[in-house]
Amino acid sequence: MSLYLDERDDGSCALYLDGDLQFDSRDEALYHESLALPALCLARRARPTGLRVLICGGGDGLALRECLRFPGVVHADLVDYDPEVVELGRTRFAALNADAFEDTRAHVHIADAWDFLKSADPYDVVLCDFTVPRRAEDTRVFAQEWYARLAEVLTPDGLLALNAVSPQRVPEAFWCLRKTVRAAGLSALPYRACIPSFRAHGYGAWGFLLASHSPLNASLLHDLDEDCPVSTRQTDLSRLWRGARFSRAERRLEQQVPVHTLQNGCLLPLLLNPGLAPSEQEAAQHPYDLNPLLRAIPILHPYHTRLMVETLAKQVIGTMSALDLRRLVEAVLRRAAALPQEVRTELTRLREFLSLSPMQLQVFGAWCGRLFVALVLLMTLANAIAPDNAFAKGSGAGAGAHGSSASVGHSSFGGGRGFGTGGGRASGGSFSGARGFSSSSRAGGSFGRGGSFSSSRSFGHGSVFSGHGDAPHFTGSGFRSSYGSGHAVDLEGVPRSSRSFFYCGSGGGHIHTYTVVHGGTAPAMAPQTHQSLFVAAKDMLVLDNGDVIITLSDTAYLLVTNGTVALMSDKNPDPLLLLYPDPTLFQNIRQQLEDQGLGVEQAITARQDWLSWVGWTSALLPAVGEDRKELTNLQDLDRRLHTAFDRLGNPPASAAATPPPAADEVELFLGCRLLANGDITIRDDRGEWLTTDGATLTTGQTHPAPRPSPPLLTAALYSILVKLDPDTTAALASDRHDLQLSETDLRALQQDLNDYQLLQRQNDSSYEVDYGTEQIPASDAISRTQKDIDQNLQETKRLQDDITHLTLLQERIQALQPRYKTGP
Amino acid sequence: MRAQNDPAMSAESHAEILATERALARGDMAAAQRHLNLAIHQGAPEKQTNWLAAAIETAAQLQQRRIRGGGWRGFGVAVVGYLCLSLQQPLGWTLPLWLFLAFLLVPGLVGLVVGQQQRQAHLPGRSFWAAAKSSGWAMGLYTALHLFRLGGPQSDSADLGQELLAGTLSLLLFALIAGLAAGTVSAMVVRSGAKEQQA
Amino acid sequence: MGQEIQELGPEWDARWDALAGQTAESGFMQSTAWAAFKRSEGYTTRRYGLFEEEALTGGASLLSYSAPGSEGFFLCPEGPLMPWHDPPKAREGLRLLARAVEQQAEQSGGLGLRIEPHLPPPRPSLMRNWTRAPIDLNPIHSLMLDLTLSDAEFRAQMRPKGRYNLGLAHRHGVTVIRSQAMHDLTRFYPLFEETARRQRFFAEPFGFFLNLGAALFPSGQAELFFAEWQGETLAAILVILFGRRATYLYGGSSARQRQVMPTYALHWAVMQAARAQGCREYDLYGYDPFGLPEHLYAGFSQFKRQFGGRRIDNIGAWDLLFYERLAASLVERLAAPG
Repeated sequence: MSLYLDERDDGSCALYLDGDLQFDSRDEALYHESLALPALCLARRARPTGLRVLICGGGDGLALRECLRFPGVVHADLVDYDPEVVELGRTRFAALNADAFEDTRAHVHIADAWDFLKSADPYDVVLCDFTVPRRAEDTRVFAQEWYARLAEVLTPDGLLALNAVSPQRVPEAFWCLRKTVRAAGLSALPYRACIPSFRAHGYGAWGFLLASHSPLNASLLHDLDEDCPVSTRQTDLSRLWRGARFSRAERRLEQQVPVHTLQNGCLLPLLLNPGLAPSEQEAAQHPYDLNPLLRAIPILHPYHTRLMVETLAKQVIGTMSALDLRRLVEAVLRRAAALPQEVRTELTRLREFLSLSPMQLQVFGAWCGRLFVALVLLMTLANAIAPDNAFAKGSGAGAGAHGSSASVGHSSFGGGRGFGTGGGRASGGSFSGARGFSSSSRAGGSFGRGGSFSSSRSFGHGSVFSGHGDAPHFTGSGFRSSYGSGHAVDLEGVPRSSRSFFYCGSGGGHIHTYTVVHGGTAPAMAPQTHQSLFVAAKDMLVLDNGDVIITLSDTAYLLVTNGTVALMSDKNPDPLLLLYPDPTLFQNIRQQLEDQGLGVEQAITARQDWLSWVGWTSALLPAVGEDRKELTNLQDLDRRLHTAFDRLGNPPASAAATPPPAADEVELFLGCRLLANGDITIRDDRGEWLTTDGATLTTGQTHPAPRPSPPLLTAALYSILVKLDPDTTAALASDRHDLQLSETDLRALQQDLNDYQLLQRQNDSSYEVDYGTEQIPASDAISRTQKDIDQNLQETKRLQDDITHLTLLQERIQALQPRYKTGP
Repeated sequence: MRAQNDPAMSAESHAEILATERALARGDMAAAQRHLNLAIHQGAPEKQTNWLAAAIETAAQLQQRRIRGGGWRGFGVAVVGYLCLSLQQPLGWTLPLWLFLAFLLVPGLVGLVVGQQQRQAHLPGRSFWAAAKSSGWAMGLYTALHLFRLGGPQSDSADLGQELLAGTLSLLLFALIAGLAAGTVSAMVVRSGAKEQQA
Repeated sequence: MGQEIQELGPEWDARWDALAGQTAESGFMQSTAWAAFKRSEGYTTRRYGLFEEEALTGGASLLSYSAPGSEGFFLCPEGPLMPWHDPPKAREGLRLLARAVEQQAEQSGGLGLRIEPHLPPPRPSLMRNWTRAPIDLNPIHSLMLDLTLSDAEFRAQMRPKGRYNLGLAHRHGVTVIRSQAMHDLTRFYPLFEETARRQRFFAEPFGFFLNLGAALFPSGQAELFFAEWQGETLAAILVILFGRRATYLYGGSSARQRQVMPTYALHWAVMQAARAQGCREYDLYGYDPFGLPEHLYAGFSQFKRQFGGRRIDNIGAWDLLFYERLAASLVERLAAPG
């Protein structure tokens, strides 16, 4: 239990237990009056004097204060198991609780509430002021058994008031509590109150329960204010009854949730998984489809997100092939009496099968589906149960903060441990760091078919714009503070470094008349500098004049405008070469612009509508002024996106998509390939393939004779190669590291194998040897080590293949670099 | 008139009876009651004063009902009007048209309805308030619903207070304007009715 | 031989911390205070000591987390403490520990034991029957700075750009303030949260830091460092100082005024403070040694690399599964109706 008291300069304070806000002195009266006074008032109707009160929890003494100032209370017991809180109640909170602990009627017991209740006298009023449970044992004082015990000590006309949970945030848990109280034989009346400090912490409207042996209904709360003999500080008792009104849909939840007992402990899962209806029938219908199963895995800790749990489950499946299945199946069979007959039969057959051949998990799945599914679920739960497991530092998938940028960083989830680079990989022999990509996507360059562009499309879809309803929500620090501040921003308003581009011709619909490669008439127009202002995708920028840029390297980029694609270099204002206007490229860009434009337009409409109502207050209220500024920014952005859309133009109708590259070719960007012989080939606007080896340039059929390659073109290609180089080098370094480890491991395994074989020869085959921390017969140790070696060899082979491929690529790139490094 | 045909009546009490009848016709119940009291004091025949007292009471009740009913009818008109306006956001109507519809047409209609209803009551003040309240509440409701739905496009918790304040201010101002417009129209209708009658 | 294992009560706190703090294969996650923090986060903790001739030579501080209806693992982050240099002894010790934990699991539930000692890969042969865990509790690569170097020596082994940026921060007059006050967490958290949003990683909730502070500040095991410039707090980090090692665990920086290089001044100050407390190394934590563009720590690694240092590789987390428990849970799950 950790306790933190936040003392503020203005003298107010807030108490946190285990990081959860207990009360804020600025509005604690609201909470404690709402908890204590209804019960006290109703109890007083039956028994005006001589009231005996029990407070469970509430060591801060604030609920006690409410009881003691209530006329007719002659005795109050307070039970709290945390001496630290009670001590604070006596000292720091003495002023807040009006020295409640000094009152002769108050009796404080530091004890477990269960133990205290074992020998307790009857009470007219019982208040349960426990903290919201965060772990299983905390839920003991929310169980049916507990309420049954309370019902025993409650006088026939007595009242029980409970601090429940938020009916707004965790409705299932709230109605589970009511059902539990009713299951204990009491009538229970739910009501809620809005506590500003709770709300500010995201806890939602707060719920309470009133319970009694006699029937309770909301009308009892109607004239509470007239009944109440004491004045309130913050609560309006005349309005309390409104909080007891719940819609039919809300109340219906109660039928769907179970009763929380010590045995089933269902409260915590309900608390942690609001709105999640586990569809186990669905999972049962498709036992081999794991997706519904993964969705059914509940979130076990408040720190977890759904994405985390699902990713984790996939990782678990990846590592399960290392399980000793024979041993598991045998252990299961020893307990098989409890299992259905058909499962037992299948398991026995599985055991026989296992004794013959080494085990693959897939076989298991086919043999005994239910067991397999249960095993996956069990292992995933076991791994997901502790908060840290899905939560190692920095392992977040970004989903927690936004819920919108799920695709970003998704691949590298999991504490720096690579998963997903080949199925068998994550088994016993994996030592690599996070390797979020395979060699095929690496070779795709930055803007190819499978490159970042296609993935950024899905980013746009899953992002804020496609969100729910009609008003997209930008994050707080979004456009408001960033857009228009001179930085380029991305969809979420995160500023990116701005880059400027210097080129000829920015008039509407301009046509390149001159290229470095093909020559032509130089444009009369002077070149201009344009700033990037919007990062639409990772490598797609929209310039201030509306032109679209796709960055290829630090110096090279594609300028897409007026139906043309030009390869540009930072070093020259004229295009190097006009590229083939591939319709796929235009379609992708158009789609991207449309997605973004749609989102911006929705945002504009939402703001305009809002401002049409409240805009006139902008002079008075800075926040409204900010809204107005932001609207201008968004409109500006929208205009530019429209310009971009207009300027993009269309490729000639005859243009067809470029065929995919051959197996030994590497696509540097769309329409540009690195050939096996080290030449680079580019498809120009006429659809011809230009081939360069750095020094000379061959232009298809038109100019069959080679001519010198323009240095600028060579330099641009060089910069793209250079950018590709470190990525390849990094992947190679990582693979080599893994390979080295794998080989070291192999040597150790072979050494072990030799030792075991020697021991077996020297002794009989049942001789026990050390296998790790186990002692098993030498023959078993040999077969298991052999299995490890096989796995290791597989892994080594995979790594070697990968390295060969990468080395080839790297060699090609590096060998080429001097050839292309001739630039000015 | 009946009063002139009664020989037993004094000139003073006769004058008071006449004044009572005039006030009754005007709809000024307080004045009618005052004059009637004077008439009784000056010895006007009981038969006649009883009849007048009953008439005043009936008229007062009718007047009350009209005033009240007028208010509700006006509110109904306003609700229907603003429901129609709710079909789209103000900008959908274009701002000038919306301003006209929301602050002139709908409140004007409310004023007309309330004024017509209360024309017989002859109380411009009362009918001003009745129309103003109907139109003001309806406008408040309309504004509140829309603001709630729009909800401040980016309700940063830091700005939430200001956004709320902006909404509240707008709501109050709009309700005030719509109320004023409706009240004025209504009062004008009632007053013109009174003038017609006097003429 | 001759090793024994027994549970350690609170009377062993000081001796245990001294041992864990000075063991290179271990770290702060084995400390008493860390266990207290984890308890406040809802974990159950348990500590075993390994004795040889009455002397405490190793052991493990274990965490477990219970939730209704499912069993978890016994976790031993940055542990256990074993005589790793002496494989036969380590095998014996680990076996004793595994046996003790399995016995405990029979009573309180638990499907396995997960350990994560700081050992260079590949896994030692004595862990042959352990399986690689699906997730690690700590990053397997990290960057370690040597605090036994003098300032001049340290600067010399930094990358030139790092050296330059550090000088820049000092020239701009970035000041660093240390704090172990709970209320400064309210100053730290917004920066952390802002960074998490910018870098798109999951941000732990504020309550997590309150618990961490409550457990670790009083013993001086955690400390906040703030970089200030012209009255504005530009960056903050939370550092763990335990035994021989200081660890940079959480940090955040504002997007503004990056040109004054506040983070360089910050880590420099941490190193001075850590050295003064007797730490011999500073762990910059998660690190991508290869420069992979998609790596989780790609962005941070570029920055960290500027400080020079030595790359550390770890074997990661390994599980010993308790097959009997696993089978029992499976059967229970399969036999349950529905």
